[in-house]
Amino acid sequence: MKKLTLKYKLFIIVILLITLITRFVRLDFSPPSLSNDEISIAYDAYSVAHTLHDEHNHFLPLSFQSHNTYKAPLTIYAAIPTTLLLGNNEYSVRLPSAILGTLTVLFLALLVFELTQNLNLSLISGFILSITPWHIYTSRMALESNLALFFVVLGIYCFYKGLNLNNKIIIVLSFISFALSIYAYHTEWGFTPLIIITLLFLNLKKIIKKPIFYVGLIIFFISISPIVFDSIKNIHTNARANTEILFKDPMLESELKNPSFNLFQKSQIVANAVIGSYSSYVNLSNLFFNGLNLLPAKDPYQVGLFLAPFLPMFLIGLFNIKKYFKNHTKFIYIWLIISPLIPALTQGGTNFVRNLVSVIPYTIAISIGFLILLEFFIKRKILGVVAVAVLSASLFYFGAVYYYYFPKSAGEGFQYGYKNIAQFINKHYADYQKIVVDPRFGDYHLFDGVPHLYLSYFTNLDPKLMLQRQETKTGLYFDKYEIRSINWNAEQVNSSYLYIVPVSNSPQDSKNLKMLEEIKLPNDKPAFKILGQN
Amino acid sequence: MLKKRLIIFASSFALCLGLDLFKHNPILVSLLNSSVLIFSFLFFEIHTKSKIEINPVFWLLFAFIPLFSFNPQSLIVNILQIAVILFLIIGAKFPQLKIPFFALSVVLLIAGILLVGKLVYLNGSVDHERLIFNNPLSQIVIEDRQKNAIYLPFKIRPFVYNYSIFIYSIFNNIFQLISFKSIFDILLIANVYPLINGFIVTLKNYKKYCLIYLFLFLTLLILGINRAPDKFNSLYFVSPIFLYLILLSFKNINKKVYSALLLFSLLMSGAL
Repeated sequence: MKKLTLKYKLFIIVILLITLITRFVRLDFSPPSLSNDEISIAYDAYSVAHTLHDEHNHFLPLSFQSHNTYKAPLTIYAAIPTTLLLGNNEYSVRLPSAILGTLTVLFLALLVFELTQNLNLSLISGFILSITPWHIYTSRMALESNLALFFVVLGIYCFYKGLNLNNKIIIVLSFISFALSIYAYHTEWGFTPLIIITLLFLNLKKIIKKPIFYVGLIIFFISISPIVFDSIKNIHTNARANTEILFKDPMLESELKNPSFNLFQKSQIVANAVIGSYSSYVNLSNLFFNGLNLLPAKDPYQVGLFLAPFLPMFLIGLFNIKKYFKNHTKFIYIWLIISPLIPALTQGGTNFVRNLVSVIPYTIAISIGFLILLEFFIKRKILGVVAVAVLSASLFYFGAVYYYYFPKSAGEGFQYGYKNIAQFINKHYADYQKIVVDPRFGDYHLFDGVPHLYLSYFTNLDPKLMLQRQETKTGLYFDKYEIRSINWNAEQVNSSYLYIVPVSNSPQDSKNLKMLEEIKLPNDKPAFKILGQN
Repeated sequence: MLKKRLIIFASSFALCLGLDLFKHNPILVSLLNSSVLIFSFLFFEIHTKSKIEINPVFWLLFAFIPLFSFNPQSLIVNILQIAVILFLIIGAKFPQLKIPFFALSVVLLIAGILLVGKLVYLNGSVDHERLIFNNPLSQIVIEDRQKNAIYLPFKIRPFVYNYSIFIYSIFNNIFQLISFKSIFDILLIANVYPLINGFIVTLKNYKKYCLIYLFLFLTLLILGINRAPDKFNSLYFVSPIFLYLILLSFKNINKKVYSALLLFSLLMSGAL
C-alpha cells in the first residue's frame, strides 16, 4: 500500500474523532437511563462477577433468562471486566458496546479496502458509519446486536484477508469470530450460517483445495456446539425462537388456528406476513426518515436510521456497486438481501436493533453514492456547497434530537428514576426496616418495571441476597425490599417502612406519610414519590 | 400478424374485464379499467414507436395487475383516468398536438389524484384537514422548538425550526407508501423486477422520458401532501406509466426468474 498523504491522515483523524466523540461522550446521559434490557445485562454481569450465578441462580449460563425471554451470553460476560473495573454504573455496562462499535467502523473501512483496494471508498465508508444515527445509537447502549455486528464484520474481513494472503491463522480467526457472533445475538443464529454459506459458495473455486477452510468450519461447529446443545436441552423452555418467532404474533397465530382457512390459504397468510415484515425492514421511510423512533410518534423531527441526505446516495450507490466491488458485487447484494430475513421472521413490528446487521451493506451502498456525488460536486462547486450544507443541517438536527430532545422525552420508556431512588436509598438504607417498592410506572401506573434490578444494581446490594429472594403471587421479597403493587386502601402503613410509588399511585390521604423526595423525569414531569415518616 | 395482435388485445381486454367482474366491480368500471389496460399497451407502442414483442402468455397476465381491477368508488375518477391515457395517446400519435394534449393529460392527472385522494371535492372545495400542512401536532412541535431550543440563540431558532420541515414530512410520507409491499400489492411482486429495470432504462436516455418522470413526480408529490394516502387510490392514475416502464425492459429480463416470481405472485395474491 502506498504511503498515506497528509489529506488522508487528516481524514482518518477526523473519522476517529467523530467516532470516539459520538460513541463515548456522556454514555450516562443519552440514552437517559439503562433500559429494561440493559439493566438485566448489567445486573447479570454484576451477579456473575461476584457469585458465578445469574439473577435466576443459574451457574455460568449460556442463555440468560430475562423478562419472559432469554438473552445470548456474550454481552453479559463482556460486561464483567468493566463492571469489576468501574463499578456499577452506566459506563461499565455500555463500554464494551461502545468499544466494539468503534472497532466496527475501523473493520468496515478495512473490509471495504480489502474488497475494492480503493482507499477513498474505504475511508468514506468508515466516515459514513461513524455519523450514522443507527450505529451511533446502538453503540451507545449495551445491545447484544452491536457486539454481534462487530464479530460478523471482523469475521468477513478476516475471511477475505486470510483468503487473499493465504494466511491460516487469519482464516481460523474468521471462523472463531463468526462463532462469537452466534454467542452475541440471536439474529446471528440465522444470519451467520447464511453469510458463511454465501462466502464459501462465492469463493468455492479458491477455497475448495485449501484444507484450512475445512478446519475453520470444524472449529466453528465445535465452538458453537455448547450453545447449540444448551439450546436443544432447553428447547421447550428457554429458546428465544419460541418467544419471538413471527408465528407467535397474536393476530397471525389466531388466523393460523382458524379452522375455516385451508392449508393453502394459511400458507398465503404466512407468506404475506413475511413479505409485509420484510418490506417494513427495507422501507425507505424507516431507513432514512423516521425509523430510529427517538421522539414521540408523529413528531415531524423524527430521525431515520440513516441521515435523510443519504437516500439519494444509497440509490445511486445501489446501482453502482459493480463499479467498485467488481468480483465481490454478488456478495454485497446478497448481504443486503439476506440481512433483514431473520428479523423479518420475528414478531413485534420493525425492530432496527434486530436488523442491525443490515447497517453494513447499506453503509457500503451509501458510501459508493457519496463517492460518485463527491466527484460530481467537485466540478460543480455551488451545488457542492449546497450538498454540504444539507448534510451538515441533517447532522445538526440529529445531534439536537439525540443529545437534547431524546433524553428529555424518552425518560419514562427507559424507566428513568430508579437510579435516583437508589441514590436516596444509599443514604437512608439504615433508617428503615423495610423498603416497599411499587414496581408500576407511567401516567396510570399501567407499566410494570424491574425496580428490583435497578435498585440492587445501583445500591451495590450483595447479589447473594438476591439469590435468596422469595417470589410469591403478591411480589418479590429480598433483603429489606418488598417489590409489590401497593393498594393504599388495604395497606397497613408501617412507620418504619419506606414506600416508593409511581406518582399516579400516591395515597389519597396522607396515611401519616410524608413525601421525602419526588423523583422527576428529565422533562420535569414527576415520576415517583418516596414516602416515609422520618 | 395483425390478426394475432388483435386476438391478444381482445383476450387481454376480456381477461381484465373478467377479473374486474370477478372482484364485483360494476360493469362500467370494469369496462373502463379493461380499456385503460389496452390503451396503456397502445400508448407504449405509439410513444416508443415499437411493437410489443413478448410471449402472449406474459402479455395476457398483465391483466392480473391489481391496479387494473381496482375500483376507486367514483366513476368520475375512472373517466378522468381514461381521458388521461387517451390524451397521452393523441399527444404521442400527433407530434403537432403533443404539447396541448400532454398538458391536458397532466392537468387531468392532477385533478384526478386530488379527487381520488379526497384532497379536493367535485364542487372545488379543499379538505384542509387532509393536508399534511395542517397537522396540528407538527405546528405545536415547531412552536415548542422555537420557544425551547435553548441551545440556539433566540433569533436563530425560527430559521432552524419552521415550516420547511414539511418538505421532510412529504418525503417521509412518499417513501412510507412506496414500499416493497405496496408495490407488491398494486403490481404483483414479479413486476417489480421489470419495473426497476425499466426505470433504469429511462435514466440512460432521460430526455426522452420527461413525461414519464413528470407523471411520477406529480403523483408522488400529491400523495406526499396527503396526510393519509392510500396506495391504490394514489397510484391508480399512474398504472399506464407503471405498465410502460414494465414493458420498456421486458425484453431484457430473465424470463425464468420472472416466471417464477409471477407464479409466486399469483399464488400469494390468491389469483390462482
